[in-house]
Amino acid sequence: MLAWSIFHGAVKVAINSDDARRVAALAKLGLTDDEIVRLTADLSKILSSFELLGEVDGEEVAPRLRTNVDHTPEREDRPVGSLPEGKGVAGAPDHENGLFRVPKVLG
Amino acid sequence: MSGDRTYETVIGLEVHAHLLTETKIFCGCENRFGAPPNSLVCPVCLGMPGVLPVLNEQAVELAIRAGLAFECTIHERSIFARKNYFYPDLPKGYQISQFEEPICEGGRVPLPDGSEVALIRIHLEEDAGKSFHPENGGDHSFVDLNRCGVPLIEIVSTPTIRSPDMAYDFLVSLKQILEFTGISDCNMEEGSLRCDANVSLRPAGEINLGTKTELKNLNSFRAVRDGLKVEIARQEKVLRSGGEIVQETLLWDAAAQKVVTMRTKEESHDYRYFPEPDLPPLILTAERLEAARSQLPELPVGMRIRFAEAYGLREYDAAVLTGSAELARFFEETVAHFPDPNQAANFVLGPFLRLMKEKNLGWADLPITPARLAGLLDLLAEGSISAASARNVLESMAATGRDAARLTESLGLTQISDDGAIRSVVREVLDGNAPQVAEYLAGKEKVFGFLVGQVMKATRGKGNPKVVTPIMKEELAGRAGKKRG
Amino acid sequence: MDWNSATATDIARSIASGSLTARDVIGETITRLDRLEPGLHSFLSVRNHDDLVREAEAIDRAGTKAGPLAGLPIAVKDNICTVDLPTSCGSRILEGYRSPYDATVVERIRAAGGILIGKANLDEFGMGSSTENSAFGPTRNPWDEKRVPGGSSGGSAAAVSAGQAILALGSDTGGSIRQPAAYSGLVGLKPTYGAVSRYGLVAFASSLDQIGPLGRTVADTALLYDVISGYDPRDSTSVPGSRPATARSLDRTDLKGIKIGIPEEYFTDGLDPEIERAVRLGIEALVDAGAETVSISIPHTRFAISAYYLVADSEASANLARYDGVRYGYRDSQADDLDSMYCSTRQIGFGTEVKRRILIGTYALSSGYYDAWYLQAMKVRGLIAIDFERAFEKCDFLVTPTTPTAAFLLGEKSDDPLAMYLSDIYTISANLAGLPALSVPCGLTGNGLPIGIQFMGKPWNEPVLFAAGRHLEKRLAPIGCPGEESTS
Repeated sequence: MLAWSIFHGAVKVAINSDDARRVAALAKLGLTDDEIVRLTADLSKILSSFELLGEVDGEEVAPRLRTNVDHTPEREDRPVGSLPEGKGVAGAPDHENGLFRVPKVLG
Repeated sequence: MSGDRTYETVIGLEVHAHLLTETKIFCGCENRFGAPPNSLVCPVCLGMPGVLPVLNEQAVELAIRAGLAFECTIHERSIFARKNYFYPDLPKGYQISQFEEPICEGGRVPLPDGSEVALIRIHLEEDAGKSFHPENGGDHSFVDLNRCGVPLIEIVSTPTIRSPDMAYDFLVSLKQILEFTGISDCNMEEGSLRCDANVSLRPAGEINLGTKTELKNLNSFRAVRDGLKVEIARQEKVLRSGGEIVQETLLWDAAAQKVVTMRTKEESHDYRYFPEPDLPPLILTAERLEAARSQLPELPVGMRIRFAEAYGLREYDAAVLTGSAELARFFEETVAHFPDPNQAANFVLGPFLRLMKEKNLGWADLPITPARLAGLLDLLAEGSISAASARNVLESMAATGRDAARLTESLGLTQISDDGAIRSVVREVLDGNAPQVAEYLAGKEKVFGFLVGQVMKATRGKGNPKVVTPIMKEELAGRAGKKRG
Repeated sequence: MDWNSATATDIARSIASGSLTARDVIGETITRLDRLEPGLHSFLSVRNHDDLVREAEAIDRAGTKAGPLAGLPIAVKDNICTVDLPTSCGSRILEGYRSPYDATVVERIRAAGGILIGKANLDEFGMGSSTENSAFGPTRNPWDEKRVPGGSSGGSAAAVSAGQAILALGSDTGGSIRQPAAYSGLVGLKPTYGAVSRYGLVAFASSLDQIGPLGRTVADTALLYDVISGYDPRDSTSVPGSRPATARSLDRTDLKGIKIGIPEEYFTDGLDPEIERAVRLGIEALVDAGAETVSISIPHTRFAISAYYLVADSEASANLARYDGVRYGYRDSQADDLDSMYCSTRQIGFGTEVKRRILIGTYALSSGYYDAWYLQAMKVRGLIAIDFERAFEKCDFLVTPTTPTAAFLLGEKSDDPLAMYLSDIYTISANLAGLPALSVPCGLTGNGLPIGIQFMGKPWNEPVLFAAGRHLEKRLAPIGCPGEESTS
């Protein structure tokens, strides 16, 4: 269970191994039990140090999304060609008849 | 207790439509169906390390056009977002879509009865590739990424659709508009139009929405209607027996006519949307929107009214003719060559459409051009050919692409309308069928048809009935006089 | 020519005048590379010697038409795509991976006559500050092989510092060019965001990453910057329009009328007094050249590390999702269903630091946490950018230390990620705000380790930073080269 509360504008967070497992599953990262223990500790420590951000009053602040380009450029709708046939799958760990081959989805 | 209640159905649809562009949304690979697997791919759409997306201008144009056609609010500023999940047909591990700040919000889809369904939004995104799970594939699945990066708009309706039939009407109207405006070809077999439905029930009069299920794999309009009917019945049964609806994603199995669970709420994705850092905001200028507005093609409703008024067609015919963009265009081009719209409409909606259906013909390379069809209508109108022969000519035209006059001639179908020629055949027939003539003259008028049939037989169908009938009557009357006299 | 201190500018001039051939230069460079590589491990792959010699000979034949980088051997960080050498990003998951295309910057270098000599070692996917996070072993600092060269562009820095290459490309997400430049006695530039195309740079954190040059002098660094910068239609975040020419700015006779801002937050606890002393001397040298100093404040500085890591790791968690064993790179072929294939491929393919970052980023974006972490970090990012905009109303550029300490020992911080993160404390803000920042050598510590001074400018003010760097070079005693006795 994630201990999560907001007081005096600061975020308090402690992560346990179930949280680490949940996040690892989302990220498709296999972790050994040892790794879970170590990474849970690392994450707790790192995220706790980031709690500091909670001190900033973000209410009136717009998140910075802009880069040094104010609008995205657009490309002309004209074909420029693709990789030669077969080249797209050539570097794949497993392929057959021009198709990427993967282990079956379970369930 | 819950057994006596009546329930109201609440349906919201999410429609994905491929855009009719030359190239993919973020790279210069062709947007084309049916190529050999993984032949329309490049480093960008394969998600190779180091690549970056560059937005296709025409995809934006078509999304704007959709916003105009459905009367949405088109935002001057919209942003792209990453939707994160793992699947073998999603090379980057995220789909570039729009989440907060989509290109279009609001809007509506008109229904045939004059009502409408309000839309929530329309946004731009890239399609994923295709995974196959062949029966004989053993423990493997296969992935083709040709479709990966094909531009899509996702059209999301409000949950104000009240029945499967209304959902069906919504889709028909939506498809019609997308086709008319050249936004999408809406080919469901090729997957260029796909539909998911959210469905829930609530007791009549209740304001809050019930727990919904999401229905996927609705591969045809019929599947949408049938799938929704089955799912609504299922939900109603659960509720009536005092049960609760489980929030889940379901797949429609059209063959078995039932729904199967794909994933439950617990297994639902956490997509972790966040703004796409590789693409600055999409900014649309007022000039660009104005230009798109002025170039917006005619919409189906407007065209139906115009057909009825300008061509003097019956409401019903105008509606059927404007049912598809290709048909409407074909008709308009035909009447540009042929002066009688009603006659043209009759023929197009009759023999022509029947033939298209029977022979399973497509519009793409149809050998019957509007000009050739107009040529055939000319022959028919001037009486050089019978209606039956016209159908034969049409069929040959579909097979050969030759023009009506030459086909009529080579098939020997030119109608005989010459009075003299017909009269001599009629006389021969009357002479050779004395008993029947006698019967007719004795008052058995049914025999008239038999005698006309004999004339048609003798002319091998080429006798113009409009000429044959009066001459036959004249000749029979003459013989009656003789007999009495 | 003294190869220990030869600059790209000198070599290019000698090749152009015919007093030196590209063949000579590549020959000498290959010799040094081979001799020093066992001790340093700057490279993950090096091109075939015969190919290099042939390419140099072709450049000699082309003569003056060969371009501004004619015959200069250049090391390219191994997270920048090249067709003729693998691009592994220092990761097992991309071991042996061959890109089907050249990065835009590599195309530009080739077109300018530069010779790609090899691919430089780095922290896996650029995640680290010491090059110890490379799956293929660490690089060592030529000034002291017990120490790290900095990171993540540690291989690039070590190669140029040791003369295994004349120039190098690095990438900088939070200081990954400037910190190794400082640790290795080099000049390194993190360009304005959007100045250099990212097409072909394997993404770590897309909104922060920029490719930039490392060189032995300001002029060398400017030479390479002028070649690689410019609009690229393949990168939607690349800024259209021409760049101010940096070469001319180097001739600026003094810094009269230039105001340099000294941000108080960068001279506090944690800054090694030796470094502070050196940087203060550097500031005095700039004042001698005619600049004025003003004290300014970047109030949100203390939040920068947290905001930086949350933004960078969130973006990284998505950018690294493509390494799934399906289309290229490593796959654990033992796994018999899709999900376990994904999980074990990524478990085996990624190193510990990368896993840590992916987990933090995934967490920060996940449902229920997005607002408190990712969004809050982006807001703080905005506040930091505004701090800089305000500061630039009072001054032309800021001067700070590049790093709080000089190069640390191998293994010193590898078990403490937070301590490692703090070595970026002065460099990350330029990435958060998209600003250009230059690190220039500024003396040596008592132990003979290089110290770096950092200039952070307004967007597109690279020429001003180069001009200031050039004046500093002229006024400070040269730090010499690794392996030599200190000249001071």
